[in-house]
Amino acid sequence: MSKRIVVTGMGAISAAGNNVSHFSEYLFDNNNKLINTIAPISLFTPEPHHASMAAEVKNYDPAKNFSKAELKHFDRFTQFALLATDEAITQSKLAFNDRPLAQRTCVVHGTSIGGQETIEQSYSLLFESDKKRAHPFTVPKLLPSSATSHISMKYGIKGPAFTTSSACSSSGHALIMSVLMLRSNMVDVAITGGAEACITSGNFHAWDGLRVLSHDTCRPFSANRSGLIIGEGAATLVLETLDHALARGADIYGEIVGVGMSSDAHNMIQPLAEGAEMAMNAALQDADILPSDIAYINAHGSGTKQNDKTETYAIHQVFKAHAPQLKVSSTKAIHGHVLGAGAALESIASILAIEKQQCPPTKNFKENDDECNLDYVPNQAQPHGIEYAMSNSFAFGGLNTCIIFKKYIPKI
Amino acid sequence: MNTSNVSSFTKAKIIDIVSEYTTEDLKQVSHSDSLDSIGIDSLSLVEIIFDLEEAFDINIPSENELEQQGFNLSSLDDVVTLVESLVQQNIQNKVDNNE
Repeated sequence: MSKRIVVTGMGAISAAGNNVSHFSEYLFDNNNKLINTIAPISLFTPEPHHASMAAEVKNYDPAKNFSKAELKHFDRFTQFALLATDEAITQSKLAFNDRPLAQRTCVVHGTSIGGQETIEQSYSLLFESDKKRAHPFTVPKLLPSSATSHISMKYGIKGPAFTTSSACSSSGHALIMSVLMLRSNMVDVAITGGAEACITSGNFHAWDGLRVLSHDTCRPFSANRSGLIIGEGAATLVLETLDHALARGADIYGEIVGVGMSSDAHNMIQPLAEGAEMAMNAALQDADILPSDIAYINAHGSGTKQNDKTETYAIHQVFKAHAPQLKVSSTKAIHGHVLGAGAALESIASILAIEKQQCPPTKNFKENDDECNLDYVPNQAQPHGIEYAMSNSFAFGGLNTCIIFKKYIPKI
Repeated sequence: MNTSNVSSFTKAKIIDIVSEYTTEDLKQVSHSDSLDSIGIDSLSLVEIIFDLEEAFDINIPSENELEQQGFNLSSLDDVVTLVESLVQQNIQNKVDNNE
């Protein structure tokens, strides 16, 4: 029998709070007491007529978290990765000064783009300010694998370490690769997740050209949805084999029981329902459960016209008669589309949903759409019995991941 | 240059641009046919919008904003109407700024 994989630490930083506890408050904030996470961009001045809203990490001062010397090496996405990882590892109470454990731990952290801020600042100096030299740390700082390297260096983790990059599924693939390494007995512990920080002028020019950005807010599955809102942040999970976690008396926050991956093999931009269906079916098969066992889906739900109707159709195809009973929500209206960090952040949302036995809502849901006809938990979190929750991520280029979480029930 | 000259020049240029994205001969099809039926899918439309913005120095609003303004881009005629309107607005803005 395959090894069971459990979650023993979680860390998150996003527009919806600088740690998991704040994130949870945002997810289940039924009284709308918290400030709006989606707001006019403050990190640069958008062009007139271009999208000007984003889900930025609020009140973030790099100098309060890192030394001047560290900031020469840490792009913004690496900073977020390190902060989320610090929270997750602290919660797990793991230390890696024991050499066998350090070698039996992997770091797999995803990012869609990597050091975008570093790239743009460097280009600006070279091409606009007529500087002749780039800073000597430009290359190590901008590498998409930079965050992974800094995590492994900070904690002395010496097992397999690499970055996954598959656009909006990057951290989904990171989690899944970690699960597979844990199951195969290659490692006992995995530090995994994703980070993204690309609310930059050049990147927004590029996204604006695709015409998928909303000019006001993110309204997943709502008939009046107008596109996605880019967010930034990071999320890290500590995964362990159940045996390893039990042996050291770790607190366990949930279990990963099924993982699925697929490729649409279709189009760089347009999603294909068949690809999404294959990923969900693969995860269900891996978990060895029935579609009717799933109570809640944290949907990809990007808020674009095309994604939301395609995902809805795919869910109907997979869940058939059970589809109307499912609770399906997109938390992207709360934390924005965090691209390469999205799957990891939404995995934490799914684990919190199981922990609280509540479905986080699809905020900003205003109008029913004939092509989006599921129970999207509109606007208010709802109490719900959840043993199994599914988290979907469907990326540009048709790269899909699906992860199934289960409530962990200790043996007495 | 009177308005009809502007219009025919604009229309010819639009058709040139759109022709790049389809194998259909745009002289042979009805311009009120859906873009889909003349071989223009939604991805091509995104590129066409970019080309039109560059060619005419205009900003084509987002799909939702267009809907609110009563425009949609379902056919070649729709594209021509929208671009002509934005070009006229540009000319008017330049005249206003010079006055």
